[in-house]
Amino acid sequence: MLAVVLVLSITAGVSLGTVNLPFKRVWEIIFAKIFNKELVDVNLNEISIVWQIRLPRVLTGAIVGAGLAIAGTVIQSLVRNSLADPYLLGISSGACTGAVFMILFASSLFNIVLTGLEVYFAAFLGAMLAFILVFFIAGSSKGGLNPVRMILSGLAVSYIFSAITNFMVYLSQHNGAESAMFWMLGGLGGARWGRLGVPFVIVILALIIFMLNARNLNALLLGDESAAAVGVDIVKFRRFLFVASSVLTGVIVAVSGSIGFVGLIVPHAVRLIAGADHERVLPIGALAGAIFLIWADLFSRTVIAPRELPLGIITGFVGAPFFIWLLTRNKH
Amino acid sequence: MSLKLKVNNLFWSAGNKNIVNDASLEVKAGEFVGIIGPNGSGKSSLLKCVYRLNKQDKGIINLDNYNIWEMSAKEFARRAAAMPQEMPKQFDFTVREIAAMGRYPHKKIIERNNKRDYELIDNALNYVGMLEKSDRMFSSLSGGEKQRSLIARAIAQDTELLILDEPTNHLDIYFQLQIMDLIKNLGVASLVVMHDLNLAAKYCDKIYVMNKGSIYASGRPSEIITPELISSVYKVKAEIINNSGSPHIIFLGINN
Repeated sequence: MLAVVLVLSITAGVSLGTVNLPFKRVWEIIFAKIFNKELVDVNLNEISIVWQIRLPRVLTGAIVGAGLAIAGTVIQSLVRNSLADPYLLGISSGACTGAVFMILFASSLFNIVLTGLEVYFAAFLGAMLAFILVFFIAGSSKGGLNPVRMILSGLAVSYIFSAITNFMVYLSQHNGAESAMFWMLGGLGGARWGRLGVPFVIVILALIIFMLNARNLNALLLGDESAAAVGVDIVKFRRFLFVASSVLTGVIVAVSGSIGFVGLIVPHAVRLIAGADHERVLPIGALAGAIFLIWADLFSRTVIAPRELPLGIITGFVGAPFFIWLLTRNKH
Repeated sequence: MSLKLKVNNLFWSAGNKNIVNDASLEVKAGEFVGIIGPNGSGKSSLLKCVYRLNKQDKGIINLDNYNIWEMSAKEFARRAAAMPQEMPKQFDFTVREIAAMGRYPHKKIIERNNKRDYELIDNALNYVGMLEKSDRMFSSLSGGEKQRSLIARAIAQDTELLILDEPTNHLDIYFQLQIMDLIKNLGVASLVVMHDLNLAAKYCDKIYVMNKGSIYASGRPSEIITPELISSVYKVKAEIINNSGSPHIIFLGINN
């Protein structure tokens, strides 16, 4: 069912925008491109809108949305808190610092012209740097990583990186600051065919790996003691989850910036409907996250067209009230 | 009777504080063994070492004559089922999902539950009287129902050793007795941390008394539960009456 909605959402995402195209035309163009057929009486503009601009963007949105939902689900189990999101552990702040550094300073420092790819790479490196810091700060205690230490270490590392980012933005004071800002709030404006492969593979791999560990994820939700009681090696499993979810989050943040709230609300909403079992939450969440982000992105590029709103603002407007509702609902 | 569990000279510390200090104990097949002792005497910490949550600093724990740290966490959970004190919250599973977790250690990574697994889960739920409520959400249950669901998980795990940390905590007397009967009637070896001395005296084949991280005394309830022991370990004056074979303790007041 959700898969059908996803296909419809992709279609809608591609056909709607500043120029609206009929659904049928969209699929004609897509099929023609895939099977390398000649198109008759379709103008070149439409082909480039569908194939060069919108389709890679919508697919990136789907991948990012799915990835965020998966990462959010896993991190909620990792720190055993249903209000956790993929950025809780400092990864997005690290990515931000990496990307902003590249955008504002690297071109003058290394004397290169940015093609965009360097920024992604720097963001991923920043994310991994933050992850390594949190990993070692939180893991330094006896008994390995524990949720409270992870959250607090993540917070501390986030502050450090945010300070560095803000410092760089403040120092630069030229127009680069705007692109840095857009990056911090997240968006799919940089989507290209060539940049889709890595995140796609990583998200699919992550889904498979986490699905294989669905039982251990379930057990971990109950608590460390219960998980140990049913045969989960807590120390090893936490370490594995932390590494895997950080790589996943790092790759996603690198392509889309830090789009907030998706990784928090989607798993939560799915749990409300489908229960807590990860064998259901992970695949359903991935589909729901993909659908949600496609529509949020469609909204972000149409609502004040021709300008584009950063996606993070849209998801924030939807997500924050939902978050408040959850908080007031979970009184005990 | 063959030996199920043997704990030898166990030490475990948190920070710089020695919590478990040279503790040794044994559980034979089918035996119901209690651990009692005042708050902070290291009962739960010892138990956590036994079910592999905490790794001891020194000493050896053997289960079926194998060192528990030389087997995998899964292998261990196929041989011993633990019921910790911790109550799951925040994330809501159904009673059946909780009980089904007892089958996790028996399953390979992509293996599904088969007919026998479902039978074991149903039998466990039926045994604790939770079969009709198996589709209820765990959070909607009463305290006694929650404990029974967690026991169902341990039973579904289908092991020859149960490790239980205060299974009757926060329960009314009816449910305390009900839970103890459920566990005892299973007839498998059990190592149980208990708070209530009279309950321990009534149900245990053997009792270990812990004090300041060490085993202070051990033996059959009728042998070791004496006014002297209660006075020196719990700092409480007590009188013991014999209640059809098992000692019953009447507390008179704290030591002056």
